[in-house]
Amino acid sequence: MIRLDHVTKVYPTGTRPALDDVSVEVDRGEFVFLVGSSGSGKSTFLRLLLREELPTKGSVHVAGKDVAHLSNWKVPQLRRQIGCVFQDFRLLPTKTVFENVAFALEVIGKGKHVIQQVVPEVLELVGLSGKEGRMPDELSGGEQQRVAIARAFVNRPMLLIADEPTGNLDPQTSVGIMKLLDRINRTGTTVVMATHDAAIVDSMRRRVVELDTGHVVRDQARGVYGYAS
Amino acid sequence: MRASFVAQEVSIGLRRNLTLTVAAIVTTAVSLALLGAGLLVRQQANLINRLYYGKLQVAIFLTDDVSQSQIDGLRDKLGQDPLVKQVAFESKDEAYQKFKRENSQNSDLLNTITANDLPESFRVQLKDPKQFDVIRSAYLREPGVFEIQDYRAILDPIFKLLSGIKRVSYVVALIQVFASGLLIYNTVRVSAFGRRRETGIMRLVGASSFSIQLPFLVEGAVAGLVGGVIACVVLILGKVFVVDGIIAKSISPGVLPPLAWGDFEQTMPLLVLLGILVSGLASFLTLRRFVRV
Repeated sequence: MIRLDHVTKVYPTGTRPALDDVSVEVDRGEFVFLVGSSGSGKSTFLRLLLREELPTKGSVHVAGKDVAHLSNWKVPQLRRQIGCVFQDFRLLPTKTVFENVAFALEVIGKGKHVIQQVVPEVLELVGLSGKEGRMPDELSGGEQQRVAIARAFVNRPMLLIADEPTGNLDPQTSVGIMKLLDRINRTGTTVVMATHDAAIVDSMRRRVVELDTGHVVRDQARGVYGYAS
Repeated sequence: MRASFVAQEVSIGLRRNLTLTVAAIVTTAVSLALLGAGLLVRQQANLINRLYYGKLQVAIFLTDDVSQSQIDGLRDKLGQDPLVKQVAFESKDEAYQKFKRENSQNSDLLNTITANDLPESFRVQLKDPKQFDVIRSAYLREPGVFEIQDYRAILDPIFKLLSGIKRVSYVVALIQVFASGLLIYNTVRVSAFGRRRETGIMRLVGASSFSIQLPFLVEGAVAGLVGGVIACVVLILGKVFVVDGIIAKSISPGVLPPLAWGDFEQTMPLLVLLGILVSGLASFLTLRRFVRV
């Protein structure tokens, strides 16, 4: 699903590489935690998958496509296969829950019938049935993140990228979000999640890839947040 | 993307920075109205040219005591002159008939003037109208010639006025186009900033660059369209109230051809189209800078 092959990324203004000779492979249907302190290269890792950045050296493959050599007009096709969730939700404050989710379909040209059918389904999946007409600021943080997840998942992407999705949420709410991501993972969607949340990583017991100053320092199949004793 | 969705996004975008949009529309309208005025003046000048200028002749008036042999001699000389295209003799009688037609309402004048008061003349059409001075100096000293007049000279002030109006309106239109370009640039920039959340999400969910840019382009084009329509309204009002209402009344009727609505039918679609194109282009150039796709 994802293959990073000896990837180095140097930003023009950076003094050291953000990623230095990183090779990671993620299979279809895996759930991977990306951990590491700030500046360890987690965000760069995720941005490379989305082709927000191009690798300085090495190759990045996502869903069988060589991301670095993708022509510009094919980038949208790649991004349609990837869902994205962020710490700050990134909802549109002037649109309702339904409209926020529908927006993702509208802008890729899906018809009204598809939207009317698919949006309620995905809202039910994330547990927001009955709140279609609410505005984002009428929802709790956890509910807002559920809307964001619904928007990321509504197009049934093969890969879901979550950049600290629980960073703004209290522990109890975070557990709910993790259960949701787990359920999405069980539908066959590959999930890559960058996080600082030790409790969550420890409780999930999934694969953990740890980055430190641009190097992969750990890749464990059923890992925890800190070094396993 | 569905058209209704684009329309909705565009109307949100336009309302969100209404003041800038209005400013852009107004400058676009002013520049297009001036351009339109210039175009109409040009058409009017062409019309006057077609109606009168081509037919205007040089008149060689003869003295009262001119002899028949002098007339014949002049006719032969003019007929062989390489500068002359056509020559016709106008007798006192013909001159009087024309005079009566032109002054049919002025009975006092008609009563006092008789055919004998009017001079005989040759009506000469030149191959090149600018050669009047050559003709004048060549024939003024011929026996029997009283005076030589270029009828074109009568129209010259009108042409000078029209071309002056035309030039000023073009120059001001150009300056205004520049200003409206800058305003559209700013409008789109502010609009892009106000919608960066939307465009960011559109990028992430894989919207094509076309569908990300389309609402901005349409916003620009709508501003241009409205500006063009306002310009047309201004021109129509200008014709009704200024040209027909003030100018036409101060010039005796029939002297100058009226400004025809037909010219408007040609000019107005051009203005609207130009408004859409220019603002669409300005938006497009701005987008490349401010909207990441």
